[in-house]
Amino acid sequence: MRFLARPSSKPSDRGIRGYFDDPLDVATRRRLKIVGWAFIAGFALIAARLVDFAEFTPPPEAGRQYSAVVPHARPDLLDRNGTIVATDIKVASMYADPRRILDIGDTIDQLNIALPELSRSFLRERLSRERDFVWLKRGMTPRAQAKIHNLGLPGIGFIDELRRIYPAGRALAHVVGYVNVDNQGQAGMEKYLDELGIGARFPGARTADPSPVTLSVDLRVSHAMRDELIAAMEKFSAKAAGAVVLDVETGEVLGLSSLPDYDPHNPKESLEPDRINRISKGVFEFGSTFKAFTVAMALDEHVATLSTSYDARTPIRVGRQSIGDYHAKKSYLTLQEIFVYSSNIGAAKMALDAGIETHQAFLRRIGMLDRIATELPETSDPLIPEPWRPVSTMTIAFGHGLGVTPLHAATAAAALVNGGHLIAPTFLKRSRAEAELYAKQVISADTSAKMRYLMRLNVLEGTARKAAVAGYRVGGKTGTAEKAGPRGYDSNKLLTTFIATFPVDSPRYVVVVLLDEPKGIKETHGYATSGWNAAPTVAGIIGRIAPMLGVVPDDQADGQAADFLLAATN
Amino acid sequence: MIRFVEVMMVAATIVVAIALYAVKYDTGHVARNIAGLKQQIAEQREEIVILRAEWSLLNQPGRLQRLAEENLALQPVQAGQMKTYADVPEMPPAEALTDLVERSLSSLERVESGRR
Repeated sequence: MRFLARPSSKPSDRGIRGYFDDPLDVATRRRLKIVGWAFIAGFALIAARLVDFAEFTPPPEAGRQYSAVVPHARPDLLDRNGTIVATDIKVASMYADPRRILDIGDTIDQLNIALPELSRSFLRERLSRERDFVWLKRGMTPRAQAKIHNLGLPGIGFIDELRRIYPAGRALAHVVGYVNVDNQGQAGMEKYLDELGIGARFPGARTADPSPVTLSVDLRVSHAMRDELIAAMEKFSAKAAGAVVLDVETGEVLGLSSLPDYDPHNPKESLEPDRINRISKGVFEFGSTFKAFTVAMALDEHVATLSTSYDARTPIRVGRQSIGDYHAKKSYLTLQEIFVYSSNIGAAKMALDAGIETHQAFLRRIGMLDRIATELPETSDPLIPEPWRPVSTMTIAFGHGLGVTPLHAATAAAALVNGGHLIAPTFLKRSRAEAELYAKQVISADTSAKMRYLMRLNVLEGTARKAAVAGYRVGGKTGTAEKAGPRGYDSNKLLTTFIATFPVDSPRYVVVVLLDEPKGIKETHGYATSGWNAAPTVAGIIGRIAPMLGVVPDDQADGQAADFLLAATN
Repeated sequence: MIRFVEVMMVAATIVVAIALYAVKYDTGHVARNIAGLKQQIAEQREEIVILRAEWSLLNQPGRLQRLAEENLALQPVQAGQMKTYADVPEMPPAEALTDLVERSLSSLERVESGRR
């Protein structure tokens, strides 16, 4: 307690120094020392902190957004080669705050002059609303935005929004689909993305670049196919047309076209009834192409062999109607000839031999009686006759009475030629290894070899001659079906189809083409059957896409008889 | 002694204060730089997105086909035009090759002298 003691002598006696030599300053000195040390400690602390800052590494980004809009709210869609087919770009959208507008009339005038597409009545209606926010125009070009901005109108502003654009345009319209104004998928793979949960996010949601989704389609193949289809539709004055290319080893859809189609930037077009996706959603009676499946069934179930004979001399009478052949041969026909000459009578008898249950079971096995499970939302259930009578079995044998989609036909045809594996079609890029997990053996490899032989024979000698393409070993089956009308089948309204595969010695792809109400022209001598219109269309398509798909042409194989395809099976 | 220490303390305070402010302004600069660069990066990223989209648009097969048809004399490839290595004829023997080269050179000379 010595610091609290009183001084004993007067400090003034010792001069200025005295104040500092004051005996009291022992206590004061001690206080001063404490405060001094406190300050030193304080400075030491600051110095230490400075050193600390010098070695300091900045913390990771606190995540400040530098743009008002997330650049990618939806994943990009790419074709199988990495080409962008759907992506987002930032566009300005104009809004108004009616409460802040000073002179409505003047604002309306100026906006209307700058952007004539905004009518005065529209603007008046919008700007008279009692709200603080109204959209005026969503998705403007930068030039338009600059024009309006330079007017300097109070109460008019811009918000950046994302707009989905489709560089591929109509070529992939049905596959890619489209979005609504809020970037939500409405059709096609865009809708599939939403179903997966990786579709549009709310603006402001924190995302890094979501990885793009690679589709199975090849843009070049799709375009070539569509181009040929448009030409065919015009040439034969068809009402509608469709085509699909499938990879037989992986089930990937390389191209899908259905005409008429729409511009994905203008989705309203797609709501017109004739713009449906005929390949995956349109249900048709295929006619003779179905004989391929009937013949496959007969061979696979060991009901018949290639040389089994059937009496096709006279039409089969069923009640008031009869089943007859177009260009009837009026003789006994082997199974092989039934396929190549496309005999309805032969096919019906073959199916009857197998029996209703066997026939039905086979069709179910190759997926013809169930909806196809694939990513595209636009699919259909097949139209199955109810009840299924013996006459149904007969008619379905040659493709009438059962309605399926072209995608059903393509998938089943792929199983027929690839060794018997049924693989569900996919619109996403898929490897062979993955496809093997989905594959189901539905016919034997032996039957498959025989089907390849028959399809090649058909192109060499049968009704499918016009589908031949030099060097690419095409095999296929024609199909001409009369369309059902209110008073029965109309022989003037045909639906022609063609199922092709190439290269037939080791098939890689299946092509299915469909023409709705093609007309006979001079070149076809007035005939409108599949061999005259669908078959040459397939030839055109294969000629263009085979080089793109890396199929090596082989000139020698053109002259080779189809028999060599049977060699392996013996 | 104490006066020295006091003077030192004051000096130290001033130095530290100056250092502190210097560091603060420096980091402020750097932070503004970073912000500016980040803004540039974001703008360039958006521009890349637009450019990629434009590239895809310009590379549309339909557009290329139209341009090729209008401006080039190319025809679709036929299967017979594609050959494999096995189709390439064997190389002729050495004498025939020198003969060929000599004949080519002499015809070249004729062309050149013809020009002059």
